Amino acid sequence: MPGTLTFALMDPPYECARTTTALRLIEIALDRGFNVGVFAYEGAVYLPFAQQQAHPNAVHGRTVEEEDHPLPRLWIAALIDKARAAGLTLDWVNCGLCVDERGAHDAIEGVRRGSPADFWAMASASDNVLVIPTS
Amino acid sequence: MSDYLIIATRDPLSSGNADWGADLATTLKQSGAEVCLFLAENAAFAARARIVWTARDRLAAAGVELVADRFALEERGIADDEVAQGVRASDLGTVVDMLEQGRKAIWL
Repeated sequence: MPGTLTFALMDPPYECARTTTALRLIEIALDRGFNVGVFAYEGAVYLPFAQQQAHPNAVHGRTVEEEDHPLPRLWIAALIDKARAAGLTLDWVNCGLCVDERGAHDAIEGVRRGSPADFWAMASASDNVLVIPTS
Repeated sequence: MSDYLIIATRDPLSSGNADWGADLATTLKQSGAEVCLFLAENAAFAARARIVWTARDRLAAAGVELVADRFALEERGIADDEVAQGVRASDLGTVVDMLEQGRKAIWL
């Protein structure tokens, strides 16, 4: 019977493959019926930043729609929705210290502000924890 | 005795990270633990038979389970018949399975 897994993320959006691997793991965990906790710190607090915007590509002559630039906040929103629809929880916590340092206050709905104490609480309550360090 | 999952993500030819992970995996295995070295992202290059990665033989001799992320292999154009003997291609769900088993996980 699946329980709870916690992931700690550090990397900001767009910078490395670790982010997409992490989100793939979170999705798999949800598909398998796990409740998931995510503690996002350092640059990862920008992953669910509500002000991410797609843009056109003037060099290639593509409109915003044609460019269809990926936005991590949409992926995270979809994961939160997936969890909710399955009766599971995806508890995404942005480290408040890192949010303040970076001015990343505006997160999407479903993301809450917390602290390293939340990571300790999540980890303590989880069946297992995976820390994904920055490269 | 805990069992371990080590997730390597860096190309073995441009980073010592994969070798270090192999050393760690071997040492843990020799201590009696079950150990899996999971090759994700650019570490999937280490699964390619034609790459000279001497740690692969050492891992096999020690009995470390060597698994490569199929998605990463496909991203990098590594076909099934190009994967080295002793390396099993699997999906990322293997990581979740091992977390569920309670393995201590280390991401390199």
